[in-house]
Amino acid sequence: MTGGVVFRVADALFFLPATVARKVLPMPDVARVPGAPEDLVGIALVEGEIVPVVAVGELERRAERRPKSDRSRVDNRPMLVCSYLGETIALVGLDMVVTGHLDGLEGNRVTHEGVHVPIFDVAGVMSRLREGRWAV
Amino acid sequence: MAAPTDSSKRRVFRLLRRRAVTGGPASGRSTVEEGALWSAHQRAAVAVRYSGESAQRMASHSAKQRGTVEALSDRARAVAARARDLEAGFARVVDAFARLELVALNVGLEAARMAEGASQAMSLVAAEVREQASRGSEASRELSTTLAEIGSELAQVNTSLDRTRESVAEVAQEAARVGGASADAERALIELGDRLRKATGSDPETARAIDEATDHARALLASLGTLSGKVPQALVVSALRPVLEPLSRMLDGDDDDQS
Repeated sequence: MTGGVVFRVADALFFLPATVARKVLPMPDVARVPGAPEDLVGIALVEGEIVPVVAVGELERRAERRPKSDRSRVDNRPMLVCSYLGETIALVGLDMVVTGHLDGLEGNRVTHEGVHVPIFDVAGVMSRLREGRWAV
Repeated sequence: MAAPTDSSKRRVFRLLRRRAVTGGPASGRSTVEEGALWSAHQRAAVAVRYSGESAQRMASHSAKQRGTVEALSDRARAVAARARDLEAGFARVVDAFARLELVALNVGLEAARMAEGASQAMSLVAAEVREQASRGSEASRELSTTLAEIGSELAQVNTSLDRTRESVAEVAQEAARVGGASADAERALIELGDRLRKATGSDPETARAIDEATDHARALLASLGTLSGKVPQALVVSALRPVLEPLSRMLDGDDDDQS
């Protein structure tokens, strides 16, 4: 068995091991970055660290749509904070399915309730961010 | 109408005799018509007074209704405000449950980092907490939706109450108009009575007494007509003689005219 988190993006399930998935937090205030690629929602202060926030699925920009009276409420949509090769990244636009121990890792997938769940490609997301021209 | 006194009775009979002697049948008809006119005048005066009093009562009831409707409207607004407060409260409950779900997910993640045997109980508790938090969140959302519907219904109730208040105000205005019209009609009837008294020279009380006496006489004749042919005439005459003889003497002028 292996421990980690299973989450859903659109209709697909993905897995991240507990060594990568650090924590699930509510969506913080995110500062938008002008000229950034569409996937990069912005940057946020997460436990004293500036972290890029990346949308891996559909993410309604709720703060812009919420009425003023509702803006004091906390945005409870989940944000998955991940660490990979010493870098931290936060993923949003996903639905958390389960955390804990799952049936053993077979190649690049685990099994959850009889369904094979592939490992999410965090490295790919990070490299896309690095390659993006927004940072120039 | 008050029962005629002895003196008024004598006045009526004197008037009837005088008219019968001086004016003939046409004059008698005129007296009867005057009596009927004064009776109609009195009925109209009573009806107008009654309608005026009714209008006042309507205005009074309308004022009470307006007060009740305004109190209801205030209550409905207060309940709507409470519903909005509750909605905000439920939103906070939903937030708390959502946060609890995240906490449970993190507990599960912590358990995933631990050794399999030690973390099993922790994972189970985390899963159970997350499921219950999810249920609580869903129930709170449903309650919040229901409260929003209640708020909407209350808004409609308030709209209906506003319309009712407008209707009550209109009824009060109409009642005031009816009261004013009744007062005008009453004044006009008083003036009509004065002019009638001057034009005919008749005394309203006497004229009404004559009208009443005429009605009684007609009723007596109708009764006698129904008895005719069924009861022997001698029996009828003997029964009525004690009553009719004084009346006959009064009409013929045998009574003391000077008394």
